[in-house]
Amino acid sequence: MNLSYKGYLLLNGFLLFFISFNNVFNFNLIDFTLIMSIFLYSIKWNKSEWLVPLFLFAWGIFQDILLGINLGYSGSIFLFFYVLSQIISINGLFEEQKVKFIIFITALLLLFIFKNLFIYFNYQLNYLSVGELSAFLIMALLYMPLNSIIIYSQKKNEKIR
Amino acid sequence: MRTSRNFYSRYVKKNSYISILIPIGLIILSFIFYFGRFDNSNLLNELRAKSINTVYSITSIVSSPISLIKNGLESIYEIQNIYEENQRFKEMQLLDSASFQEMVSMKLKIAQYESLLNASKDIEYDYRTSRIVGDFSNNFNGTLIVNSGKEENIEVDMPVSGSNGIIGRISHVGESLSRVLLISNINSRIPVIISEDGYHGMLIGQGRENPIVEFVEHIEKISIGDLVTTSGKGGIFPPFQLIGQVVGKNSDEIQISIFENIAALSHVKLLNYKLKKEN
Repeated sequence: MNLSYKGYLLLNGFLLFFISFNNVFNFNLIDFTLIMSIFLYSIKWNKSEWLVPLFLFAWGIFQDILLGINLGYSGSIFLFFYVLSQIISINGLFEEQKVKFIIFITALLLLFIFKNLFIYFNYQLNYLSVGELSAFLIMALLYMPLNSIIIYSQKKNEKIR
Repeated sequence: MRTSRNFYSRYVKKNSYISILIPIGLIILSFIFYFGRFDNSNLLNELRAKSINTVYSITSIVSSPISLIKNGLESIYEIQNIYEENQRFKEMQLLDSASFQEMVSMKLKIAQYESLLNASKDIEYDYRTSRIVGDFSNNFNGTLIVNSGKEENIEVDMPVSGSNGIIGRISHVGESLSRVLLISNINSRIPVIISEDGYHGMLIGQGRENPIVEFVEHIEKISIGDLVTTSGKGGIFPPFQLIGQVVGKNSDEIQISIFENIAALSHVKLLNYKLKKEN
Protein backbone atom coordinates (compact mmCIF):
# COMPACT_ATOMS: atom_id res chain seq x y z
CA MET A 1 0.00 0.00 0.00
CA ASN A 2 1.31 3.44 -0.91
CA LEU A 3 0.94 6.59 1.13
CA SER A 4 -2.50 8.20 1.45
CA TYR A 5 -3.22 11.61 -0.08
CA LYS A 6 -2.76 13.10 3.37
CA GLY A 7 0.56 11.29 3.64
CA TYR A 8 1.79 12.66 0.31
CA LEU A 9 0.65 16.14 1.29
CA LEU A 10 2.48 15.91 4.61
CA LEU A 11 5.61 14.57 2.94
CA ASN A 12 5.69 17.35 0.34
CA GLY A 13 4.94 19.95 3.01
CA PHE A 14 7.80 18.64 5.10
CA LEU A 15 10.18 18.68 2.10
CA LEU A 16 9.22 22.28 1.25
CA PHE A 17 9.51 23.35 4.89
CA PHE A 18 12.93 21.74 5.24
CA ILE A 19 14.27 23.19 1.98
CA SER A 20 13.07 26.63 3.14
CA PHE A 21 15.39 26.30 6.16
CA ASN A 22 18.22 27.12 3.75
CA ASN A 23 16.73 30.60 3.46
CA VAL A 24 17.00 31.30 7.15
CA PHE A 25 20.05 29.43 8.40
CA ASN A 26 23.52 29.51 6.93
CA PHE A 27 25.73 27.25 9.05
CA ASN A 28 29.18 26.25 7.90
CA LEU A 29 29.12 22.83 9.50
CA ILE A 30 25.50 21.81 9.01
CA ASP A 31 24.42 20.71 5.56
CA PHE A 32 20.62 20.65 5.28
CA THR A 33 20.78 18.41 2.20
CA LEU A 34 22.50 15.75 4.28
CA ILE A 35 20.08 16.17 7.20
CA MET A 36 17.24 15.60 4.78
CA SER A 37 19.09 12.50 3.59
CA ILE A 38 19.11 11.16 7.16
CA PHE A 39 15.32 11.53 7.22
CA LEU A 40 14.93 9.84 3.85
CA TYR A 41 17.20 7.00 4.91
CA SER A 42 15.56 6.49 8.31
CA ILE A 43 11.95 6.33 7.13
CA LYS A 44 10.63 2.87 6.34
CA TRP A 45 9.15 3.40 2.88
CA ASN A 46 6.58 1.15 1.34
CA LYS A 47 8.18 -1.46 -0.92
CA SER A 48 5.84 -0.70 -3.80
CA GLU A 49 6.24 3.05 -3.52
CA TRP A 50 6.97 4.77 -6.86
CA LEU A 51 5.61 8.31 -6.48
CA VAL A 52 7.98 9.46 -3.71
CA PRO A 53 11.13 9.28 -5.94
CA LEU A 54 9.42 11.59 -8.44
CA PHE A 55 8.67 14.07 -5.65
CA LEU A 56 12.26 13.85 -4.41
CA PHE A 57 13.58 14.49 -7.91
CA ALA A 58 11.33 17.55 -8.31
CA TRP A 59 12.18 18.95 -4.86
CA GLY A 60 15.87 18.37 -5.61
CA ILE A 61 15.58 20.59 -8.69
CA PHE A 62 13.67 23.15 -6.60
CA GLN A 63 16.46 23.23 -3.99
CA ASP A 64 19.16 23.50 -6.67
CA ILE A 65 17.41 26.55 -8.13
CA LEU A 66 17.15 28.12 -4.68
CA LEU A 67 20.79 27.49 -3.74
CA GLY A 68 22.22 28.23 -7.18
CA ILE A 69 23.78 24.78 -7.57
CA ASN A 70 23.93 22.92 -10.89
CA LEU A 71 20.64 21.09 -11.43
CA GLY A 72 20.71 17.47 -10.31
CA TYR A 73 22.98 17.81 -7.26
CA SER A 74 20.39 17.73 -4.46
CA GLY A 75 18.08 15.31 -6.27
CA SER A 76 20.82 12.71 -6.70
CA ILE A 77 21.72 12.86 -2.98
CA PHE A 78 18.05 12.59 -1.89
CA LEU A 79 17.41 9.68 -4.23
CA PHE A 80 20.65 7.91 -3.31
CA PHE A 81 19.64 7.70 0.35
CA TYR A 82 16.07 6.80 -0.58
CA VAL A 83 17.29 3.88 -2.72
CA LEU A 84 19.61 2.77 0.07
CA SER A 85 16.67 2.76 2.49
CA GLN A 86 14.61 0.69 0.04
CA ILE A 87 17.46 -1.80 -0.56
CA ILE A 88 18.06 -2.46 3.15
CA SER A 89 14.31 -2.69 3.68
CA ILE A 90 13.90 -5.28 0.89
CA ASN A 91 16.82 -7.28 2.30
CA GLY A 92 15.25 -7.29 5.76
CA LEU A 93 18.00 -5.25 7.40
CA PHE A 94 15.83 -2.27 8.33
CA GLU A 95 15.35 -3.36 11.94
CA GLU A 96 19.06 -4.12 12.40
CA GLN A 97 20.04 -0.69 13.71
CA LYS A 98 23.79 -1.34 13.93
CA VAL A 99 23.98 -2.63 10.34
CA LYS A 100 21.80 0.26 9.21
CA PHE A 101 24.16 2.74 10.89
CA ILE A 102 27.26 1.11 9.33
CA ILE A 103 25.64 1.24 5.88
CA PHE A 104 24.77 4.92 6.45
CA ILE A 105 28.34 5.80 7.46
CA THR A 106 29.73 3.90 4.45
CA ALA A 107 27.30 5.70 2.13
CA LEU A 108 28.24 9.05 3.68
CA LEU A 109 31.93 8.25 3.21
CA LEU A 110 31.35 7.25 -0.41
CA LEU A 111 29.46 10.48 -1.02
CA PHE A 112 32.26 12.47 0.63
CA ILE A 113 34.94 10.78 -1.53
CA PHE A 114 32.88 11.12 -4.70
CA LYS A 115 32.13 14.82 -4.08
CA ASN A 116 35.78 15.64 -3.41
CA LEU A 117 37.04 13.62 -6.38
CA PHE A 118 34.50 15.32 -8.63
CA ILE A 119 35.57 18.79 -7.47
CA TYR A 120 39.24 17.81 -7.78
CA PHE A 121 38.95 16.54 -11.37
CA ASN A 122 36.42 19.09 -12.55
CA TYR A 123 37.84 22.24 -10.97
CA GLN A 124 41.46 21.15 -10.27
CA LEU A 125 40.75 22.06 -6.68
CA ASN A 126 41.63 20.20 -3.50
CA TYR A 127 38.40 20.82 -1.61
CA LEU A 128 39.25 18.39 1.19
CA SER A 129 39.42 20.46 4.39
CA VAL A 130 38.82 20.19 8.13
CA GLY A 131 35.56 22.11 7.73
CA GLU A 132 34.29 19.78 5.01
CA LEU A 133 35.25 16.67 6.99
CA SER A 134 33.65 18.10 10.16
CA ALA A 135 30.37 18.68 8.28
CA PHE A 136 30.24 15.00 7.35
CA LEU A 137 31.21 13.90 10.89
CA ILE A 138 28.42 16.04 12.35
CA MET A 139 25.97 14.24 10.04
CA ALA A 140 27.23 10.90 11.37
CA LEU A 141 26.64 12.17 14.94
CA LEU A 142 23.18 13.49 14.08
CA TYR A 143 22.11 10.17 12.57
CA MET A 144 21.38 8.36 15.86
CA PRO A 145 19.03 10.94 17.46
CA LEU A 146 17.20 11.69 14.20
CA ASN A 147 16.84 8.01 13.37
CA SER A 148 15.44 7.29 16.86
CA ILE A 149 12.89 10.10 16.51
CA ILE A 150 11.70 8.84 13.13
CA ILE A 151 11.50 5.18 14.23
CA TYR A 152 9.56 6.20 17.35
CA SER A 153 7.11 8.39 15.44
CA GLN A 154 6.62 5.77 12.72
CA LYS A 155 5.89 3.02 15.27
CA LYS A 156 3.53 5.30 17.16
CA ASN A 157 1.72 6.11 13.93
CA GLU A 158 1.37 2.38 13.12
CA LYS A 159 -0.10 1.69 16.56
CA ILE A 160 -2.70 4.42 16.12
CA ARG A 161 -3.70 2.88 12.78
CA MET B 1 -4.56 -20.77 -1.60
CA ARG B 2 -0.92 -21.47 -2.53
CA THR B 3 -1.49 -19.97 -6.01
CA SER B 4 -2.85 -16.74 -4.59
CA ARG B 5 0.06 -16.56 -2.12
CA ASN B 6 2.54 -17.12 -4.97
CA PHE B 7 0.77 -14.46 -7.02
CA TYR B 8 0.93 -12.03 -4.09
CA SER B 9 4.65 -12.67 -3.50
CA ARG B 10 5.37 -12.24 -7.23
CA TYR B 11 3.34 -9.00 -7.20
CA VAL B 12 5.25 -7.63 -4.19
CA LYS B 13 8.60 -8.66 -5.71
CA LYS B 14 7.77 -6.99 -9.02
CA ASN B 15 6.69 -3.79 -7.27
CA SER B 16 9.84 -3.85 -5.13
CA TYR B 17 11.94 -3.88 -8.28
CA ILE B 18 9.92 -0.98 -9.69
CA SER B 19 10.39 0.98 -6.46
CA ILE B 20 14.15 0.54 -6.84
CA LEU B 21 14.37 0.99 -10.61
CA ILE B 22 12.43 4.28 -10.73
CA PRO B 23 14.72 6.12 -8.26
CA ILE B 24 17.82 4.61 -9.88
CA GLY B 25 16.58 5.91 -13.25
CA LEU B 26 16.00 9.32 -11.68
CA ILE B 27 19.49 9.29 -10.10
CA ILE B 28 20.94 8.65 -13.58
CA LEU B 29 18.80 11.52 -14.92
CA SER B 30 20.08 13.79 -12.10
CA PHE B 31 23.66 12.80 -12.96
CA ILE B 32 23.03 13.61 -16.63
CA PHE B 33 21.65 17.01 -15.56
CA TYR B 34 24.54 17.68 -13.20
CA PHE B 35 27.45 16.52 -15.33
CA GLY B 36 25.89 17.66 -18.60
CA ARG B 37 25.55 21.17 -17.14
CA PHE B 38 22.54 21.88 -19.31
CA ASP B 39 21.66 24.78 -17.03
CA ASN B 40 24.64 26.63 -18.50
CA SER B 41 22.83 26.81 -21.84
CA ASN B 42 21.18 30.14 -22.67
CA LEU B 43 17.62 28.81 -22.53
CA LEU B 44 17.94 27.08 -19.16
CA ASN B 45 19.99 29.97 -17.80
CA GLU B 46 17.13 32.31 -18.68
CA LEU B 47 14.55 29.90 -17.20
CA ARG B 48 16.61 29.61 -14.06
CA ALA B 49 16.90 33.38 -13.71
CA LYS B 50 13.13 33.71 -14.13
CA SER B 51 12.38 30.98 -11.59
CA ILE B 52 14.48 32.60 -8.83
CA ASN B 53 11.59 34.92 -7.98
CA THR B 54 9.00 32.13 -7.71
CA VAL B 55 11.21 29.69 -5.81
CA TYR B 56 12.44 32.35 -3.39
CA SER B 57 8.91 33.73 -2.80
CA ILE B 58 7.55 30.26 -1.94
CA THR B 59 10.40 29.40 0.43
CA SER B 60 10.38 32.81 2.09
CA ILE B 61 6.64 32.50 2.83
CA VAL B 62 7.14 29.01 4.30
CA SER B 63 10.16 30.05 6.34
CA SER B 64 8.69 33.38 7.49
CA PRO B 65 7.74 32.24 11.06
CA ILE B 66 11.26 30.89 11.72
CA SER B 67 12.76 33.88 10.00
CA LEU B 68 10.74 36.20 12.25
CA ILE B 69 11.99 34.48 15.40
CA LYS B 70 15.57 34.47 14.14
CA ASN B 71 15.44 38.17 13.20
CA GLY B 72 13.94 39.04 16.59
CA LEU B 73 16.72 37.23 18.44
CA GLU B 74 19.34 38.83 16.22
CA SER B 75 17.88 42.29 16.89
CA ILE B 76 18.19 41.76 20.65
CA TYR B 77 21.80 40.68 20.20
CA GLU B 78 22.51 43.68 17.96
CA ILE B 79 21.05 46.13 20.49
CA GLN B 80 23.40 44.67 23.09
CA ASN B 81 26.36 45.42 20.81
CA ILE B 82 25.35 48.98 19.91
CA TYR B 83 26.59 50.53 23.18
CA GLU B 84 30.02 48.91 22.89
CA GLU B 85 30.30 49.86 19.23
CA ASN B 86 29.32 53.46 20.02
CA GLN B 87 32.12 53.71 22.59
CA ARG B 88 34.60 52.27 20.12
CA PHE B 89 33.52 54.66 17.37
CA LYS B 90 33.95 57.64 19.70
CA GLU B 91 37.51 56.53 20.40
CA MET B 92 38.19 56.02 16.71
CA GLN B 93 36.62 59.31 15.63
CA LEU B 94 39.80 61.36 15.87
CA LEU B 95 41.84 58.76 14.06
CA ASP B 96 39.20 58.37 11.36
CA SER B 97 38.90 62.10 10.72
CA ALA B 98 42.70 62.26 10.20
CA SER B 99 42.66 59.36 7.73
CA PHE B 100 39.58 60.80 6.00
CA GLN B 101 41.39 64.10 5.48
CA GLU B 102 44.37 62.16 4.16
CA MET B 103 42.12 60.25 1.74
CA VAL B 104 40.43 63.41 0.45
CA SER B 105 43.75 65.16 -0.16
CA MET B 106 45.07 62.01 -1.91
CA LYS B 107 41.97 61.85 -4.12
CA LEU B 108 42.34 65.52 -5.08
CA LYS B 109 45.99 64.94 -5.88
CA ILE B 110 45.16 61.94 -8.12
CA ALA B 111 42.43 63.95 -9.88
CA GLN B 112 44.98 66.69 -10.63
CA TYR B 113 47.51 64.17 -11.98
CA GLU B 114 44.83 62.52 -14.13
CA SER B 115 43.79 65.83 -15.65
CA LEU B 116 47.46 66.64 -16.34
CA LEU B 117 47.92 63.26 -18.04
CA ASN B 118 44.55 63.53 -19.82
CA ALA B 119 43.75 60.01 -18.51
CA SER B 120 40.36 58.44 -19.25
CA LYS B 121 37.86 58.41 -16.40
CA ASP B 122 36.81 54.79 -16.76
CA ILE B 123 37.16 54.11 -13.03
CA GLU B 124 34.12 56.25 -12.25
CA TYR B 125 30.97 54.29 -11.62
CA ASP B 126 27.62 54.59 -9.98
CA TYR B 127 26.13 52.01 -7.59
CA ARG B 128 22.87 50.76 -6.23
CA THR B 129 22.48 49.48 -2.67
CA SER B 130 20.56 46.23 -2.30
CA ARG B 131 19.49 44.13 0.64
CA ILE B 132 20.65 40.52 0.92
CA VAL B 133 17.53 38.36 1.09
CA GLY B 134 19.14 34.92 0.75
CA ASP B 135 22.57 33.90 1.99
CA PHE B 136 23.90 30.58 0.65
CA SER B 137 27.56 31.37 1.16
CA ASN B 138 28.32 28.28 3.24
CA ASN B 139 28.72 25.73 0.44
CA PHE B 140 31.17 25.23 -2.41
CA ASN B 141 28.81 27.07 -4.75
CA GLY B 142 28.58 30.16 -2.55
CA THR B 143 25.90 32.61 -3.72
CA LEU B 144 23.68 35.38 -2.35
CA ILE B 145 20.25 36.59 -3.46
CA VAL B 146 19.71 40.37 -3.45
CA ASN B 147 16.46 42.30 -3.82
CA SER B 148 17.23 44.06 -7.09
CA GLY B 149 16.55 42.77 -10.56
CA LYS B 150 15.62 43.75 -14.09
CA GLU B 151 13.16 46.31 -12.71
CA GLU B 152 16.16 48.18 -11.27
CA ASN B 153 18.24 47.81 -14.47
CA ILE B 154 20.54 45.24 -12.91
CA GLU B 155 22.54 43.24 -15.44
CA VAL B 156 24.59 40.05 -15.46
CA ASP B 157 28.28 40.53 -14.53
CA MET B 158 27.78 43.71 -12.51
CA PRO B 159 30.42 43.80 -9.74
CA VAL B 160 29.17 43.52 -6.15
CA SER B 161 30.94 44.96 -3.12
CA GLY B 162 30.44 45.34 0.59
CA SER B 163 31.70 48.30 2.60
CA ASN B 164 35.25 46.91 2.72
CA GLY B 165 35.77 45.42 -0.71
CA ILE B 166 34.61 43.38 -3.68
CA ILE B 167 32.65 40.21 -2.83
CA GLY B 168 31.52 38.91 -6.23
CA ARG B 169 29.48 39.61 -9.34
CA ILE B 170 25.89 39.18 -10.55
CA SER B 171 25.38 35.78 -12.19
CA HIS B 172 21.58 35.64 -12.76
CA VAL B 173 19.02 38.43 -12.93
CA GLY B 174 15.33 37.87 -12.22
CA GLU B 175 12.48 40.39 -12.30
CA SER B 176 13.02 41.70 -8.80
CA LEU B 177 15.79 39.46 -7.46
CA SER B 178 19.34 38.70 -8.59
CA ARG B 179 21.92 36.09 -7.70
CA VAL B 180 25.45 37.07 -6.69
CA LEU B 181 28.29 34.64 -7.46
CA LEU B 182 30.68 35.12 -4.54
CA ILE B 183 34.46 35.21 -4.90
CA SER B 184 34.58 32.14 -2.65
CA ASN B 185 32.52 30.15 -5.21
CA ILE B 186 34.65 27.51 -6.93
CA ASN B 187 33.48 28.82 -10.31
CA SER B 188 34.76 32.34 -9.56
CA ARG B 189 37.84 33.69 -11.40
CA ILE B 190 38.91 37.35 -10.98
CA PRO B 191 42.04 39.00 -12.44
CA VAL B 192 43.89 40.75 -9.59
CA ILE B 193 46.95 42.83 -8.76
CA ILE B 194 49.05 42.06 -5.70
CA SER B 195 51.17 44.57 -3.74
CA GLU B 196 52.10 48.13 -4.69
CA ASP B 197 54.39 46.78 -7.43
CA GLY B 198 51.35 45.42 -9.26
CA TYR B 199 52.04 41.70 -9.79
CA HIS B 200 49.19 40.22 -11.78
CA GLY B 201 47.42 36.95 -10.95
CA MET B 202 44.10 35.13 -11.06
CA LEU B 203 41.96 34.92 -7.89
CA ILE B 204 40.26 31.51 -7.70
CA GLY B 205 37.42 30.67 -5.28
CA GLN B 206 37.95 27.72 -2.92
CA GLY B 207 34.53 27.16 -1.41
CA ARG B 208 34.65 27.34 2.38
CA GLU B 209 38.40 28.05 2.48
CA ASN B 210 40.21 31.31 1.68
CA PRO B 211 40.50 32.05 -2.05
CA ILE B 212 43.89 31.62 -3.70
CA VAL B 213 45.78 33.52 -6.38
CA GLU B 214 47.46 31.49 -9.11
CA PHE B 215 49.54 32.31 -12.21
CA VAL B 216 51.53 34.97 -10.34
CA GLU B 217 54.83 36.10 -11.78
CA HIS B 218 57.68 36.80 -9.33
CA ILE B 219 55.83 35.08 -6.52
CA GLU B 220 59.00 35.30 -4.40
CA LYS B 221 58.68 39.09 -4.26
CA ILE B 222 55.24 38.95 -2.66
CA SER B 223 55.07 39.27 1.13
CA ILE B 224 52.48 38.40 3.73
CA GLY B 225 50.18 41.37 4.27
CA ASP B 226 50.38 42.69 0.69
CA LEU B 227 47.09 44.09 -0.57
CA VAL B 228 45.12 42.35 -3.30
CA THR B 229 42.98 44.51 -5.60
CA THR B 230 41.13 44.00 -8.86
CA SER B 231 43.25 44.59 -11.96
CA GLY B 232 40.40 45.74 -14.21
CA LYS B 233 41.43 43.25 -16.90
CA GLY B 234 38.43 41.63 -18.55
CA GLY B 235 36.36 44.78 -18.09
CA ILE B 236 33.94 43.34 -15.53
CA PHE B 237 35.47 44.75 -12.35
CA PRO B 238 36.72 48.33 -12.04
CA PRO B 239 40.48 48.44 -11.30
CA PHE B 240 42.00 49.01 -7.83
CA GLN B 241 39.01 47.73 -5.85
CA LEU B 242 40.15 46.17 -2.59
CA ILE B 243 39.59 42.43 -2.17
CA GLY B 244 41.84 41.27 0.63
CA GLN B 245 45.40 40.69 1.70
CA VAL B 246 48.01 37.94 1.42
CA VAL B 247 48.01 35.58 4.40
CA GLY B 248 50.21 32.79 3.08
CA LYS B 249 52.05 31.52 0.03
CA ASN B 250 53.43 28.34 -1.56
CA SER B 251 55.72 27.91 -4.53
CA ASP B 252 52.90 28.41 -7.04
CA GLU B 253 49.93 29.93 -5.20
CA ILE B 254 49.04 32.63 -2.70
CA GLN B 255 46.37 32.39 0.01
CA ILE B 256 44.17 35.44 0.47
CA SER B 257 42.06 36.59 3.38
CA ILE B 258 39.19 38.70 2.04
CA PHE B 259 38.39 41.97 3.85
CA GLU B 260 34.64 41.54 3.80
CA ASN B 261 32.91 39.29 6.30
CA ILE B 262 30.18 38.07 3.93
CA ALA B 263 28.17 36.31 6.66
CA ALA B 264 27.83 39.61 8.57
CA LEU B 265 26.65 41.65 5.58
CA SER B 266 23.04 42.78 5.29
CA HIS B 267 23.38 45.12 2.29
CA VAL B 268 25.66 45.20 -0.74
CA LYS B 269 26.56 47.69 -3.46
CA LEU B 270 25.89 46.71 -7.08
CA LEU B 271 28.35 48.71 -9.16
CA ASN B 272 27.13 49.73 -12.61
CA TYR B 273 30.67 50.02 -13.90
CA LYS B 274 29.77 48.04 -17.01
CA LEU B 275 26.70 50.18 -17.72
CA LYS B 276 28.77 53.35 -17.35
CA LYS B 277 31.24 52.09 -19.96
CA GLU B 278 28.49 51.28 -22.45
CA ASN B 279 26.78 54.66 -22.10
